[in-house]
Amino acid sequence: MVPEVRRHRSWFESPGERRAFLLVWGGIAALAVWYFFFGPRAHYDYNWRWSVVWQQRRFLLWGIGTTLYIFAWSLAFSLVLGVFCGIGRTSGVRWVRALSTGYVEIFRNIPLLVQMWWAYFGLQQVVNAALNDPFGLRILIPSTFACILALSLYTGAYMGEVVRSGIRSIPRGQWEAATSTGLSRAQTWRSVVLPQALVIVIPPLASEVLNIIKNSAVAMTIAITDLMFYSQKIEEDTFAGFEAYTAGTLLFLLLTLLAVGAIYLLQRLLGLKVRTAA
Amino acid sequence: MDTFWKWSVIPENAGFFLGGFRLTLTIFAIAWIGCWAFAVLFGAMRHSSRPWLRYPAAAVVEVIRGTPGLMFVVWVYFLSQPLIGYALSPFWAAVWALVIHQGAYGAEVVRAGLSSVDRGQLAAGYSTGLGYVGVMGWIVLPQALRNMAPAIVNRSVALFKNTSLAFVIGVIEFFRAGTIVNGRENASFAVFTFLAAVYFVCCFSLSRLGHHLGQRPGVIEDTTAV
Repeated sequence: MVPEVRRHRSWFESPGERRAFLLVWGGIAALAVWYFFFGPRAHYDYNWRWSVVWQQRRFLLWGIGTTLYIFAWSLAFSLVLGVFCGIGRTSGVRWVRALSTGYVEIFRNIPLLVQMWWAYFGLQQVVNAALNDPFGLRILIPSTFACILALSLYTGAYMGEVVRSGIRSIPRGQWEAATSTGLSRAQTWRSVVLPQALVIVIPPLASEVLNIIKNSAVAMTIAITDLMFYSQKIEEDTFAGFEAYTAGTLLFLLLTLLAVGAIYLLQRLLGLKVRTAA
Repeated sequence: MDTFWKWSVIPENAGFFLGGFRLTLTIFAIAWIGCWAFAVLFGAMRHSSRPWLRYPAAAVVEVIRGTPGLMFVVWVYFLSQPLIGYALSPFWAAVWALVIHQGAYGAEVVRAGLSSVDRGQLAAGYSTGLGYVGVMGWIVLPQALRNMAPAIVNRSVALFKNTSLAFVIGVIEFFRAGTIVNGRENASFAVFTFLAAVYFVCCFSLSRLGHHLGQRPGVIEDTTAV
């Protein structure tokens, strides 16, 4: 059996391949059907209640609202952090480079969950210890603040790496050409390097943007009432866990798909050749 | 504020932390093996030129990659009961969730690795009389692995970080051990700084290894924030 190295092929090249297709996917389907109707747990009775998803829809909508709110702020902060960090990592000044490298390495190598709890519980203790109010006044850090802080710092570190590789991909010749036409360093950055680099990095940056939506689910653990939180609330109220979490998962999928569409439109509006990141 | 400097809670609860850390390592080890088995299977399917293998695999991988890891962990935990009739224990639910979720990201790495080997090499392999397994095992994979090595290490770092998600369904791994100690001792600064430091040391040394492997042109570096 020698496969051809061709771009477009029909679904099946030979009857044998059609048989293989039917055997593999039909076998999987048959196994699933067998398990449901004749398997060892065939008579296990799960009380499906998909209607609770519709009954509790307002919670899911509130959750989407909070998720989008957190997403918007984190996106803004992490883009700024990422661009500055990416510039810092390619900088010739040693301490700037060390600072941005340290930032990237620290925030990329700690789980987001730990960062978020540190920002919420740990930071609270630091602030109150520094305040040390004689009347016992204690400051409560809003969990929204802690969540946006952690999410921005975490994603900013990843975006910094993306922006750095974008800046690195601008050939040295362009720097030399800009310098020889009399542009200053700041002018070179502003009108030669960054406009090109930021366009190059749009596809990988887009996948980091999607990661913000996905990672924002972690905020549920510090009592942010996002989509994840409300999925859990519906589960706790109705015990329809599978239905609630399936609805939540599909809504997260919908949000990421909408973001993919928005990024696609942005690329079209900027008149770029549309590419997608893996 | 004397609770601020309560670093003594760390040595006092060292045994508990160690138990949690051992569980984290166990989850990591089991999920790592499963994750790459999943990744090789689906990566090879996506690399295949047969549409009936490529498109179903692409659909599975893209749907999984579009959902948050945390959601996936609870979803697998609650899915097990209606779908297979048995309630998975939190430990195994977490392991399966990490295997499938990280495996989908790994599948992209494997696909990129396989695609980095020229298709002409496949054809040459077949023309010498080798079968699919022979071509993959002797010709494509050794070259693909060289290009994939840094991405594999980066994925492993992500998997190690994501073992902390098991905490939501009640697995007492390292992070949950930390939250339990914090709940009892009220020393959140000390505890969470300690947790962050331990995770940092583990992940940083791993990612240095990846960086060390990745100093060649043509390598694939997967640095996704999930």
